[in-house]
Amino acid sequence: MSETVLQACNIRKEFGGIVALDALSFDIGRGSITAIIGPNGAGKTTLINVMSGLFPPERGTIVLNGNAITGRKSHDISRLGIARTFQTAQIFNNMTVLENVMVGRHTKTTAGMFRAALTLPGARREEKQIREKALHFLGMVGLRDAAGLPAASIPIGNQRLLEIARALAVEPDVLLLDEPAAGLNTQETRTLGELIRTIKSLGMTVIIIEHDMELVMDISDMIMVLNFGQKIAWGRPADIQSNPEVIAVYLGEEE
Amino acid sequence: MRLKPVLPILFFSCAVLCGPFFITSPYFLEILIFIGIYSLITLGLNLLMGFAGQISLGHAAFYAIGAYSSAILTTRYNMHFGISIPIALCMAAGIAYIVGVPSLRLKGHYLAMATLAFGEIIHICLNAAVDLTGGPSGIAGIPQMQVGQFVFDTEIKYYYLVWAIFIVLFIMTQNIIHSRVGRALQSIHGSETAASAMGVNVANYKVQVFMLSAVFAALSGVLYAHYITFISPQTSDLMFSIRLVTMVVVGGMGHIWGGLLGAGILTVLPEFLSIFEDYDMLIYGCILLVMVMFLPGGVVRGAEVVYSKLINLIRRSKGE
Amino acid sequence: MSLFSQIVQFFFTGITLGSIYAMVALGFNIIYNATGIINFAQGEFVMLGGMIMVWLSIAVGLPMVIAFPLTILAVTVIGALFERFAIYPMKKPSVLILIIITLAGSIVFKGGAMLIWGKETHTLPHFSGEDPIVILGATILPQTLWIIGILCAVVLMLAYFFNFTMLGKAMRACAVNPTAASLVGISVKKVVLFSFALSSAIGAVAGIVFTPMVLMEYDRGALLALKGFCAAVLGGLGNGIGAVVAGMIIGLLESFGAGFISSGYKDALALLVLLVVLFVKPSGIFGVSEASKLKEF
Repeated sequence: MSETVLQACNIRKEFGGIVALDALSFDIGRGSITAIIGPNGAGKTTLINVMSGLFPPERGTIVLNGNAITGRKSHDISRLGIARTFQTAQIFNNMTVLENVMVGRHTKTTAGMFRAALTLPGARREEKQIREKALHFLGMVGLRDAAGLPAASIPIGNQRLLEIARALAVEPDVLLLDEPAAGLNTQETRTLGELIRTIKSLGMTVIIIEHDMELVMDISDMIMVLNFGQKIAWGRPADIQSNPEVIAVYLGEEE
Repeated sequence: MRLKPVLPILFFSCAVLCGPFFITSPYFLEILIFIGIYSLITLGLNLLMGFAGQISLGHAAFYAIGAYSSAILTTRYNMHFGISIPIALCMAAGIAYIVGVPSLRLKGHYLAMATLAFGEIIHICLNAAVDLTGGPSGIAGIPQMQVGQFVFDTEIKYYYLVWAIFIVLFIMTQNIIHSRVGRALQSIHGSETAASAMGVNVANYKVQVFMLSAVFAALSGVLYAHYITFISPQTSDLMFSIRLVTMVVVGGMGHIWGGLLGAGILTVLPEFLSIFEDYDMLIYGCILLVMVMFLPGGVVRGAEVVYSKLINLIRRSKGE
Repeated sequence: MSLFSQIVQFFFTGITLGSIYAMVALGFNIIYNATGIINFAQGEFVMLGGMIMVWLSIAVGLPMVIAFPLTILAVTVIGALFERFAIYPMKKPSVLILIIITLAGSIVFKGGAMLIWGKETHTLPHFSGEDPIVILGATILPQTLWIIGILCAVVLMLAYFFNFTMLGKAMRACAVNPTAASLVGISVKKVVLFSFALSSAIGAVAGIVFTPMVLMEYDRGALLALKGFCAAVLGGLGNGIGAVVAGMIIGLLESFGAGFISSGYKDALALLVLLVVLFVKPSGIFGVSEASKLKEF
């Protein structure tokens, strides 16, 4: 049994009167690929938002690498080892593809305003490293040739890959992917699957929200099924596939 | 170190160096001095608005804080510049911090209004605190800058002083833009949520760049005060804050040369317009309106478009 | 004057000022509700109202009864033209661009006014004479009653308009959800145009009734707009009742502040209130926090 990298305990998130997440608890094993699936509105993106610090939960705790991260700000959580992509790509439209990924290196670098303004040699060395790492991760997603292009000018599919490269540049312990395959064709989805396997081989833990069941069943080690903010199933792909509750949720009850 | 970004500023520095050999009239030199002083403010303001994506409609306040601080310290307390100027800059930075932390939590129109209110409050206080600031009559007899026995008392000397300072700060700003900090600022402009998710402490950076732009503005104010040797609240009213913002926008927000261009255009323009006397404000407003409606990317963007069209034209004619 | 009479005096001064700020705030709210835009030229509509009224009734010599509606019409046309020329052509402008456009507009109006009417102050005769009325030991001018009365009339008319007429309801629909509104056949573009027209009309009214009390000059607009905006934000941007209540609060604050503390800083009081509101509760007294976050900024 691999060690636990992320542990969530009794997460509750409410929006006004609506309960989006209800007493959610789970453990994520280090180096695993966990898929979160469930019908629309089940709370998947809300869960990712809580984990990445976009907003705090009403109740519950999240522990990452032994550090409690519940309720901390996004930028702190990023520093502690979580990076994410967004359901609708939030790339930086005002920068180039490469610069977008370079922002991902922010938490791993330190040059502040003074060192930058005076271009001290330490800062310059750091710049070089940032650039090299960014190019490396761009290469991983296959966008190395687009490095100098304005990020807004590349096709949407590539923008999503750019987001992944940017999140990879954070070199997080846990990578949260929010529907990365949305709008991709079969070939592109297959490439994405291989990319995710490569990410796993680098030692990163991946948590992925997806609707594409082929992809999910293909790459996941574990699957968590959410419905109405509750965890209704948790297990290996084969178990989930044959789980009657899961089937009922997706296909409706038998008459 | 890559050569490309260094060339333009190098050319510019040479042009600045040679300028007074071609332009000898004190009147034109003074215009250039003012362009330099305003370019200093717009350099910082552009960083705040164009790169970090914030708004400030009250930057005249920091200009005034710099000018008045140094003026009061050198006239009433007979302090030396070496002390009064750093104090003036620190005052601006401190006030920028106090105002910036709560204000920069706001966005869009709310932020614009908060900065506008702050600017106006400072303006009103400068007029009303007669004992400290001389009220509407301002402060006269401000000593000219001097280093040892060397006094900056002619247009040429002040020209070189102002532009030397500008060039140094320009290079530093350029360095900041092309660094981790510059990218962090731009990421805030691009998407605060994503920036935060990538580890950028959005609130911190907003305040930092606000403080930096305030210090630039205060430095301009100091240079102004010790050049004209007289300041009054009129030089830093709401209209001035608006002029500064429009300099940034007209020149080209988000482009490092935008501030300078805008300062140049909008300093020279009123000189032309003064010919029209009573029509000047009306024409200024119309030009501003038209420019911002049809050239929102500023003159820099317009020049880029013209340049690329020209290149295409040349390429096409070569291809034939 | 006894302390009590002083207080009554300040009170009436306060609600006089407050009425003007309330009207400016209502103008802000109408455009904001329909478009999400803060119209920085709002103060200039007030100024133009005063100036044009002066011109028509004094220079041209029309009787006030005729000059009044003509002035409102003129300023309304100016407001509508401003919308057509400066706002309508813009495709999805950013907040900053919109701010600068309305700022530029205010400079154009100011410059035009300065050109036509110079830099001197102008005044109008009081509507019903200047014989002071004594109430509880304080003397107030009849114009004060005119101002308060006209504010009430404006508020009642707006309430009727927004609740009982098709156009008013259409504007409210646009404020809540422009996409849905256009889907049911409401022309959002027309609503935007009308909101500017209505705002400038109200601004003109404020300018006309105010000019007899204070002298009007070409650059009065900015400070009025600022204080009117304070009232709009304090009351909750977009909230009509809030605008009136907040306008009164600010007017009273200014009046008592000038009376008891110092008159040099009185203008800063309203601005200070604005800053405090923005820092503590930007949605204002009557606003809902969630709603204010939703508005597209």
